[in-house]
Amino acid sequence: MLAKIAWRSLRNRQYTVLLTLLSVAISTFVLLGVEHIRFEAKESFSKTVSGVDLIVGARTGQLNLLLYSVFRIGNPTNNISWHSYRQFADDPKVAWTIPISLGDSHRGFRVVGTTHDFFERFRFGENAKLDFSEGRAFAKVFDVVLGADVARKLNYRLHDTIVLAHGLGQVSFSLHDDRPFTVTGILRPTGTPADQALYVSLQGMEAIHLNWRDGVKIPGKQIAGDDIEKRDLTPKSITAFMIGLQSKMAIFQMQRQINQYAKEPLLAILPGVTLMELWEMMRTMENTLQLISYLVLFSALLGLSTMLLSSIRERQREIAVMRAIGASSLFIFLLIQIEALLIVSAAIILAIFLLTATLHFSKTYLAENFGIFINHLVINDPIIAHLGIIIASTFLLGLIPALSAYRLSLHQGLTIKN
Amino acid sequence: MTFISPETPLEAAATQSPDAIKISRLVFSYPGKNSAAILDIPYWQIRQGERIFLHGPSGSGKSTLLNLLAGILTTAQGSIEILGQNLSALSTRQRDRFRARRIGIVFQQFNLIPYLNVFDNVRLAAYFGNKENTKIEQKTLQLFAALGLDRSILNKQTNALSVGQQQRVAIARALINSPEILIADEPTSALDNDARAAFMQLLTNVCRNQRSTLIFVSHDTSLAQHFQRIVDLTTLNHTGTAIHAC
Repeated sequence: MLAKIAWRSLRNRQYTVLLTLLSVAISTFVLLGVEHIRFEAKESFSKTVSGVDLIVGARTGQLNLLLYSVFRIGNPTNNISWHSYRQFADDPKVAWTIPISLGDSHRGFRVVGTTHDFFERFRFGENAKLDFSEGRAFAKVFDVVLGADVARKLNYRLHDTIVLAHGLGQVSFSLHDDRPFTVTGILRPTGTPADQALYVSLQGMEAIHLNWRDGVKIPGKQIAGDDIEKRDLTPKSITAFMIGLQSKMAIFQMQRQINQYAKEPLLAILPGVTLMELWEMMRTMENTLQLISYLVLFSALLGLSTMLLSSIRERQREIAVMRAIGASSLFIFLLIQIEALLIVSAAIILAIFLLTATLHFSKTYLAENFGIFINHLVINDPIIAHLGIIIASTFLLGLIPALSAYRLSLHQGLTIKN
Repeated sequence: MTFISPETPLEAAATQSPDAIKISRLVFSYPGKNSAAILDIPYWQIRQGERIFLHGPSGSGKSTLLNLLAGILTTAQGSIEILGQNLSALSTRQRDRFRARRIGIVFQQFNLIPYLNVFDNVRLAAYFGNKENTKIEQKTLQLFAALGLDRSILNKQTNALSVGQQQRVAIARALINSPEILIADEPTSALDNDARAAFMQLLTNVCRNQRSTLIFVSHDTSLAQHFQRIVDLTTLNHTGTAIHAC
């Protein structure tokens, strides 16, 4: 009965109620949006790499190394010589390595030169292995494997031929158009940046750059296709490599060994530790964003409270009538509180709907441009906790109009001032 | 003439036959610094089934008296017994419940809750009186018939009704829980002369059939002809004389 009356009463004031509802919905949208992206970004970042003990690159910031090697964000400062790589790869403490060679792209997606170990050893999420939805790993020099998003977005199939571009731009004017690659495999989606790249062998990477120097094609220098296979395609350098050790006990020893390597300035990082440092750095910004979204919500709820409070003035007569037919003051109090909660519940539903729709349409954009993989389903534990906070705040701010109506119903009695 | 379930009031009258209203040594003043007594009623008694016309100028304490009778205000001095029940002995909640079940109230105008339709207005009163939902429609239609209202207005919005219809719906709503007492606070002031006479006729009849005690408050002494007993609040209330005596 109470809910029905509250509902009818709100419908009777539909325009003010609708505007209030919208402002609460928008602020809830902002709050839930910030929180959801924060939560999902953290989840997706920490899922990106697992089972890798160390990541090694030319000496740079820890974050920079992590970002370019795993998330394919930003650029390496320098390369590592093949000789140094081999030296560590052959170390008895090392079980396996995944070399990574970056620098080329295909229609906005980065190309990663690597070895079969990438498909065998790389792990993401809860220790999940990369898997092929179609085809298999590259075997020949000009074979390429596509990440799931690349194949889907560019609509590529097995045996299609593609041309890689030098550099990382979306539109590139220097193409390796003399050496097209053939698609031999497409990876299953992982929800990590691994979906956003193309994978070629280190030899393939080397081969397309044979007739290049300093990032420019040498005019007139063409190497016949057959010749290429015969040449030594061992790369002179790579961008970074990941290490899996025989024993976890050796991690810090190995890290020190790499960082103190005399022949070349190198940096080894523990991906998990660096990820945590990244979140530490982000925390201030996260907290600021969270604070702002809560303030926005608070102001919207204050608006709701104001709207209800000013409606009490118009509702003096209605309150007197209800009292006359036997309504208790508690009933009047609850009526106002339920009106507030109805508005906020409707606003929450609207906000969740809007957020789900928005994320659904923007998740590919977020994935491609920021390497953040967002699930568009918004309901998760932290979000439910935030909804609890919103409902509780509604109740608290609803006390202002509800208590005002309660007092009015006690003092005004049956007398109505016309 | 439609006969509207008189069992409850009749039984109540037969078994205990209490007075509808019995006030003794009532002195009431609002709390606060300006605490001059508004009401001072040494004794006032109304028997069940009586129809009383209560009049008095504004400021004579009418609305305070009505709030006291309805149990919205309580007094520390003296006692008010309604249907044998001392109101001060009840908790706030119990008084609200008591009012819902046993006292019907009709105001000057705008009695109906604007966003509920006619039937929901009546149903709300039944809800506060804890009546079973099944019989409400039947009872409402009986009251409507007695008050000359068409059943087609049941699902209408209240603002689609004329003032006269609204006032009659208000009476139907006040009587839905078969209260022993009906308090009407100038219910005819918004009506024109013809409608007023017809309204008074219906009100008197429906109260007689329901055996409800009617307390009718008005300035308009021309309406007094419809009543058995006429009470002037200024003579009932001794505050004025007391103040003059000082």
